[in-house]
Amino acid sequence: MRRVPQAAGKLMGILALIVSPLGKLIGILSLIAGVALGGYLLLKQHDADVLANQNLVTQKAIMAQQAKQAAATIAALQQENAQAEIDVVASASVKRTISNAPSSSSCAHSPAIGAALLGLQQPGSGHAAAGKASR
Amino acid sequence: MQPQAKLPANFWQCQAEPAAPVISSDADLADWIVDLAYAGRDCREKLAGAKAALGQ
Repeated sequence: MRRVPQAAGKLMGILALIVSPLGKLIGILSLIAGVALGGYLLLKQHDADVLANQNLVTQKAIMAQQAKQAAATIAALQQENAQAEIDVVASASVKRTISNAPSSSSCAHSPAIGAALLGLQQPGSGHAAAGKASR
Repeated sequence: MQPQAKLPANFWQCQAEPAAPVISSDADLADWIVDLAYAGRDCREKLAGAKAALGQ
């Protein structure tokens, strides 16, 4: 039976605090703090969303660039392989023409060619050897 | 952000320079000149291919 008046007393005390200037001040401060906290959390979530969106855009750009790179590499490889085959055929054709030409050795045995070959067979002193022989 | 480009090793391996041979005829010399020319061409084509693959 005593507890009821005690509870009522506490309730009255709380009500008195709420309607008092101090209670109003605490309420206003709590409201401000709540609004500030809510705003902060909203901004934080917004920043996280923007960052995630930016990362997604960057990731998509990288993937697009990689796909473009892969396509360019494949195209370049195919072009290079095709050109290599053309070169092999062309080289063989030129060599056939060479072998069908009349035999001679005047050029091969000339001093200039001798000097060039000697120079190229001795890397490092090639230019000096060729230069001396041609003078 | 630019992704790291990886090209096949084929682009980075030029034909070796044909060694200066022992020449006994003009035909040998002519063959060697042809080999030299095509070795250089091979390297230039591979360099061009690498540049194309890299978009340069």
